[in-house]
Order: sequence, then C-alpha cells, then structure tokens
Amino acid sequence: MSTIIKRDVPLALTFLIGVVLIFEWFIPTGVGDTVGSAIREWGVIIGSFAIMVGAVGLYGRHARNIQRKGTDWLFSVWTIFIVSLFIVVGISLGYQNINYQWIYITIYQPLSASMYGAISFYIVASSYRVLRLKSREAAALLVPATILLLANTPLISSMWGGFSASGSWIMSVITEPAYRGIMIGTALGTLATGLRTLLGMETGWLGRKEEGE
Amino acid sequence: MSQTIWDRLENIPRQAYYTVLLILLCYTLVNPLGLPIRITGETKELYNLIEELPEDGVVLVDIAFGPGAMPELGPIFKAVMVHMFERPVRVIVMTLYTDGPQMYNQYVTTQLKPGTSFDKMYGVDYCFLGYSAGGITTMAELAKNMRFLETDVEGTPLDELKVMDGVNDYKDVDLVITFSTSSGGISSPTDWVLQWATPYDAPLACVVLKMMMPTVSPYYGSGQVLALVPGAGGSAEYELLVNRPGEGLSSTDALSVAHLTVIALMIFGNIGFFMQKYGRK
Amino acid sequence: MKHLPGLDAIDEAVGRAVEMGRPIMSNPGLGTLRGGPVTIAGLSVTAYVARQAARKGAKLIIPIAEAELLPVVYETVREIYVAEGVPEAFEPDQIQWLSPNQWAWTCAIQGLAEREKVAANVMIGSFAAEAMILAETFSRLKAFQVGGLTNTYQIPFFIAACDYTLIGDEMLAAGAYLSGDPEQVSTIATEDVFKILFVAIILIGAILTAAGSNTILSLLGM
Repeated sequence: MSTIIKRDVPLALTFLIGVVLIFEWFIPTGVGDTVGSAIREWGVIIGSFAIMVGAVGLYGRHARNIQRKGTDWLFSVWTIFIVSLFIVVGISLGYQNINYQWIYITIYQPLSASMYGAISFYIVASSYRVLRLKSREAAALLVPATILLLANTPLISSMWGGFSASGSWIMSVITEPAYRGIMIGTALGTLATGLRTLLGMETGWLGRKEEGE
Repeated sequence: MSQTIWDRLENIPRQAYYTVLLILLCYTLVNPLGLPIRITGETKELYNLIEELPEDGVVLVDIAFGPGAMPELGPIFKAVMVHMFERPVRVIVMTLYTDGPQMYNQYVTTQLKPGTSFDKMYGVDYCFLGYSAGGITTMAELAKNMRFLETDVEGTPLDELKVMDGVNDYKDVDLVITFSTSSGGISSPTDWVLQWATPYDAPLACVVLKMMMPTVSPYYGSGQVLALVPGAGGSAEYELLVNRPGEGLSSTDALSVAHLTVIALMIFGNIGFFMQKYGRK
Repeated sequence: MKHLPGLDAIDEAVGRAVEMGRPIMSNPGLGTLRGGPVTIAGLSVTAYVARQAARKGAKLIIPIAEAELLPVVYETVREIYVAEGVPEAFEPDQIQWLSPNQWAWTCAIQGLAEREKVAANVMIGSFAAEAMILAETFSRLKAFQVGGLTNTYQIPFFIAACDYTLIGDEMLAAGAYLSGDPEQVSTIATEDVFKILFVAIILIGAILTAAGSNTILSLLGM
C-alpha cells in the first residue's frame, strides 16, 4: 500500500474532521451542529465495531491457548466462559433484566470494588518504601506527607484541630498552586499536541514518516 | 550476614504488613470502634447549600462513579440523597457513566425507596434521566436545554413529568451536585466547571474521591466550585449531619486504623534507616 | 529542547530487556482516540518503543484497553517491524486487547507482567486509579519503569514507583521530542512563549489584586 493510503489519507481525514468539529464548537450553526452530531455518532459506531474486532481477537487468542494447552490455559477457558455468559445474557435478556443484574452484582461489582480496595495495600507498600529521611528532598516529601496523613486520620484530627488546619494550609498554599501550574502546562501541551495532530505534524501514532526523520 | 533489628525494621517484608493491615481493617469494619470524628467545614458547606435551597428548588445530580468507588462515594451519595428527599426540593438524576444506572438502581430504587420511605413520587418529586453516551457534549447541551435527552430512563417523555415543569435550562437549576471518580475522563468535575460553572456561573458542588481533592481544589479556591467534599471521611460526617449512621461511619474507623498503620510503618522504616546509618559510623 | 530524562531512558529500558532476555511492555493507557492528545502522545511513545524493540530484538508486549486503538496499534507496529527489516519478528499476539474495563484491564496486565517476567515497562498515556497498582506491580518485579501521565492526582504514585516520570506537558511533548522534527519542536517553543506570557499575567494580576485593583480579573472575564 502506498504512503498516500497509509499515511496521507488518514492525516487528511484527521484534519478535515478536526476542522469541522472546531468550527461547530466555536461558531454554532444549524448545519454545523448536524454535521458535528453525525460525526460524533460515526465515532460511537466505529468504536462499537472496534469492540467486535477486539472481542474476536480475544476469543482467538484464548482459543489458541486452550488448543495448545499453553500457560494457564484453564484461565483461558474461564475467560471465554465468562465473556460468553455476559454477552449471551445481556443480548438476549437486556441489561435491565434481573438475571443480568444478578450476575453483574455478584461477579463484576465485588471484583471491581476489591481491585479498588487493593490500591490501599499498594499505597502502604509504596509509602513505607519511599518516605525515608535520606536527603533534603526526601524531607520535603516526608514532612508534609506526615502532616497530611495525620490531618486526614479522623481519630487524630478530632483530637487536635491544628492537624486539620496545617493540612488545609499545605493543600491550599503548597499543593494547589503546584497543581495549578501543572494543569496550565498540561492545557497548553494538550493544545499544542492537538494542533500538531490536526496539521499532520504528529505522526507517531501512524508509525512516523518514511526515513529522513 | 545475619540481619540486625534495624535491618529488619527497614525491610519489613510486605507479607507481614499486608497481613497486619488486613486483620486490622477486617476487624474495624466488622466491629466499628466508635472512634470520634469531627465534622469539617467542607462537608458542612455542602450540607448548608442543600439546606438553603428554596422550596421547590431543583437539584441536578450526576452519578459519575461505578462499583469500584462504591465504598467511598456510595455512602455519601446515599446520605446526600436522603437529605434532599427530606427537603421539599425536586431531584433530577442523570449519568454519563455506563455503570451509573446500576448505582441508581442499587442506592435509590433498592436501598432508599423514596416512594415508601420519604413519601416522594417518581416523576413528581424526582426522576432519573438514565445513561447517555454523549459525555461532555450531553453535559453542554443540557445546560442549554434540560429536555435535550427527551425521555427519562423508562422512556416517558420529559414534558409529561411534573418534576420537569419550568425546568428548561441552567437558569432553572438551583444546584448541580456531581459524585465523581473521574479526573479527566467522562463526567469529571473539570467538565462541569467548563460546561456549567464557568460559562453560566451555575452553582456547582463536587463530591470526589479523596485522592482527587488536590486536582479539583483550584476550582474550589477560585469559587467555581461552591462545595468540595471528599468521599472518604465526608461520608461519615454527612451521615452524622443527616442523622443516618451507615457504611460511611462504620468505615471511618478502618480509615483511621489504616492511616495509623502507615504512620507506624514510616516511623519504623526511618528508625531502621537512621540506626543503620549512625551504627555504620 | 531541554533533555527529558524519562524519554531518553526509553532506549535504556529496551536495552535492559534485550540484555535480560525478557520482554518490554509499552502501555499507552486507558484512553480512546477521541480522548485526544494524551492518547496520541501515548501512541507516539508506543511506536517509538516498537521501533527500538524491532531494531534491538526485544520482545514487545502492548496491552490495549480500548478496542478502537487495536487496529491502529496493530497496523502501526506491523509497519514498523516491516520497515526495520524484521517482519518475521512481529507476532500478532504481542498486541493484546484485554478489556475496556479499568480493573479487568489492570488485573490482566498484572497477570501478563508476572507470567512474562517483564524486564521493563514504559507506561505513558492516560491512566487513572490503576496507576498505583500497575506501578507497584512492576516495581515488585524489579522492572525498569518509565511513566508518564497528565492525571495530576496520580502523579505522586508514579513518582514513588517509577524510575523516571514525565509530568503533564512533558508527556505531551513526547511525540515532538522523540521525532526531533524541527516543525514539531517549534510548537513546543510556541508553548513556552505562551507559558511565559501566562506567568507574566499571573504575576501582574497578583500584584494588582493585592493593591486593590481588579483590572486583570475583569479583562479575563471572571
């Protein structure tokens, strides 16, 4: 396939669609709104087809693993079973159906909540490893972290309001301005990257230009 | 070479402190210790915003969390909904999250049962607009036209719902409350600031994960967000304010215990580090 | 452009994977193409890692969350392997669509990392609450890690667990930095000009507001 099809056509489409959507956002018109809505709908439809592609790939990969009796092939059997269960029940009965709700609440919800809860263990491990008074920079991390930990411990902050006040001070005077700076930088970076993508300069996601780069 | 006690303090195996943490958390969740808590100004601000709503005021509630955040945002969502159901206000619930309808079913329909527990009628006092896939676009459209979604979750036209009487755009909404786990994804507080608070000066309150507080606090500091409440800790405080003890209060002890464990580990680790350092000298 | 140690370290990460005979994982994150520049930046870095892996003979694993990225990444990486003259080294299974669900995707990556004994991990893209879990998992495996994200509240977790971290717009400059293309670098320079302008407005605004004047606030329409 020539580079025109592989690179130039996608870049041209990116530019055209980007310009249309920017135009629609900043200069609201009836035609612009209609075209913009249509483009967004196409995006949703393409995304849905992509899920089908992904699902086929997932089934294929796990089926090959089962056939070869590869690493942890029993988990591949389980994966295919669970994915199929959700698909069959969801499509045939609908997501509002009590049976779908049951498998959602008994399987998916607890797993999701458990993974979220597991974050706390990882944070403990990370804090224990990182918060050591090894240097001035480490002290700059350790001291505010300790004050904030104490401020956010309901038992400790109820004993003395000073912890909460100190914690609030650290958040509003040190953390907030730092985050504001990062957010401003990120916003500018987002704008620049968006512009580069629209103008076809950012081609990393297409695998880059041919040699000369 | 055998390990000294300072080596051991500095290198406690993760299996050990994971086990200790697990036991402490399980114990405090099953047997709450009743440790004292203090109601913070942040939680009181949200409470006051709802208390001061006019009679027949309209609140738009955005569910932007899923099962993963249920332990942290679920209890405060319930407590805030209880508060609103106890007041003569209209509540319009929406969600741009795929898990949002499940959260609504679980907390409002199944647990709170507004029809029987609060004498509130669906369609008259509250309604649920269901899930919309549009993300920030839907949010922007709703500010201009509150009937943009046309029907509620059951397909009833919004024009037929008494709760939507006189609610046409952002001007008719007295408060927006978002319960969000998202910092930059779908239905994040930033999106609400961008689409409602900044262009229209709409009153916006955010209930977020504790770890998201630093991200949203710049908007709170500038007045674009009127109240900013963390789920962890805020749940317990709000339950106390509405006098409905629940999961929030019972998990506060676990929160205290977890934090104290981290502080203890930090102390042990630093003691081990310093004793090794000065011991070598 | 000033050196970004995090991006310079990607070559080191690939080299380490080759030396240890273990794979390198390049993770563009949870975002969609509709999510915009963050995902584009992540894909640019993934393409760069793929090129280095193809050149040096490292085994590459790319976990995908959003299915719409799968055909893009697949085609990009396959073309890179062909361009580097090693089409036979490309395996379709090295690009795996796992799940769009945040936690299922995280679990799958943890499992992959443990089974494959990943030597290096480059995760630059859109990450949310799972950032801590992923970073700690690879840290436990003693994998060399380069992280980058724009989600401000996850930055501390990456800093704690990764060897190198790219914060905010450093990550968004990845595409320009790795290409070295003067046109792209010029957009970074333009960004810097605007940053200086904003800093000036902030300073002047702070001084004026402290002196009791709301000129800047009125001008900015707040």
